[in-house]
Amino acid sequence: MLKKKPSAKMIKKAIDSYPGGICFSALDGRVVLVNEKMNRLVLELTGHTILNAKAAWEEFANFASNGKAEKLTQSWLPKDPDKESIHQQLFFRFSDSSVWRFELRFLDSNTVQIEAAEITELYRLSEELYENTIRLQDMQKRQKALLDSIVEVNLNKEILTAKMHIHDELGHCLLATTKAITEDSLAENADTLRKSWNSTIQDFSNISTVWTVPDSSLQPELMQVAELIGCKVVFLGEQPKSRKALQLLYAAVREALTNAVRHADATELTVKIEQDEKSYHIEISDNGSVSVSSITEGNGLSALRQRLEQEGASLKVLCGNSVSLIVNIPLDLDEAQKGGRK
Amino acid sequence: MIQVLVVEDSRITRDAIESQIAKSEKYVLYASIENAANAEIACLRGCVDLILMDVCTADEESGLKAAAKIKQYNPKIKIIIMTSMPEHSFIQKAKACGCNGFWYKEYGSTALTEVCDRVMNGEYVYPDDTPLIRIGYSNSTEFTGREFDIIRELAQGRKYEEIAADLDITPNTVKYHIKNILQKTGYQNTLQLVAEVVEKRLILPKY
Repeated sequence: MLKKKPSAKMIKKAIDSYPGGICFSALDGRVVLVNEKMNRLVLELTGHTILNAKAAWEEFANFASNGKAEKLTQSWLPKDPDKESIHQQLFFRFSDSSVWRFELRFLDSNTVQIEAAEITELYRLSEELYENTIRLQDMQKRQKALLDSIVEVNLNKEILTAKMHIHDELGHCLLATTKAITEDSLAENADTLRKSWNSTIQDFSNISTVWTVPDSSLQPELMQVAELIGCKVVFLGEQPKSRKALQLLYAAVREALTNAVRHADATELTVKIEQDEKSYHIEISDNGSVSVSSITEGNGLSALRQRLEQEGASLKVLCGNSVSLIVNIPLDLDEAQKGGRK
Repeated sequence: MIQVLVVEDSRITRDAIESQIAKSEKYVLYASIENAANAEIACLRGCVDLILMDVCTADEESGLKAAAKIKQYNPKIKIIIMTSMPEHSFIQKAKACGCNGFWYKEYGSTALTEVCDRVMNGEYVYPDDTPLIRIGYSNSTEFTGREFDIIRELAQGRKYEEIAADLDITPNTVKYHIKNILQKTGYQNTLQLVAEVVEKRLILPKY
């Protein structure tokens, strides 16, 4: 069966009925075929119809707002990630508020296609999605902050409860005493009143420390427990300033102290801290009686290594007359530091 | 005398417990510390008989993790976990570590001294269940274990695909569970759900 070859007029009519804009050109920009929609869009953008596709694309790329249309550069524009690397895309909003995506693609070694597609609805939804994502990220940040401080919030709640308890007890005692005085029944209620006042005073002495800020230093408590088990901890050099670096340092000291006492019966642990412009170098050694050529890392050392490496620090275990831990903690942990208990 | 190590970072609670121990004729305070990570060290010389261990301690150190380490080397030391947080997994975790008792500071009617006495007599003393917490239209007891797993993941800011990978299920199953949870609670989205769950301390991912 013979197939009728489409005439140039038929092809032109067909592409003119295409709802988007389309233009085929040679590599040098010479226009081969362009539809009416593309010409109308280009006319609004540049003030003339498409004469040379290459020059027109350059005009699009360097487009400055002309009052009739604006170029959109926002990052949430609905780009096709698969095509993005192969095709160039530009976005414009026209005077009727419609948004159009212009896409340049090389069809073969000598043919270039510029296609314009209306994406007004897609753009509106993408914009909405972008705004929602930003809002969600913000909410997620706030939620994380709440999670980080939840224990502190709880402590404050406990302190408040204690204050309210004292307030109630005190109020109760005062009311009862005033009543007894005004009703002239002080003598017969003396015992009950004395008990109430004693109990309130006892509560006062029990929570005397409520009003003070808890000590945030990590050292005193470690020294206290080390003394309890008969092992002295000696710190040489200046300790890190940031909370996070301190937490890592003390995690290493705790592990070393546990192993030194448990396996080597040590009575003294020395923590030598040096600092250069990049990191803290910490050497933790003990006076234990066990000499080892190598050790198999147990749960404690492995967990410590994992914790240190997660934060960008490192751990080395040296064996010899005794076991020493070499810990490197980068200084820039300070940047990420975000207090523990204050 | 029974030597007691108190691990508690709330000074009010610690003072109250110390004062109860001071009044007791059976118990004597061995040490009182606020960071659970130091508890294992305090037990190294084997002088501790009973530990009263808070879960959320100073510097975000977990009392449950510390208890697990202590039990590994010193199974004879009795440990009672104390908490004011209704976190649904704490009881289960305490049991898994081999802890001997569990005491809610703010819920229930059993006194701490009673729990101590029973534990020292060889009993395992645990509350029947976690405190009932209202989450939206639903009670905390109405969530399944898997639903709790998913809420815990959401509370850590994980995406659906990450949750699916963590729990070894498909993203569609994650969506299915989330849809059910939202239906039960009446919340519009997972953020509302997570905010409520964390605010009421039903889930504390760090511990």
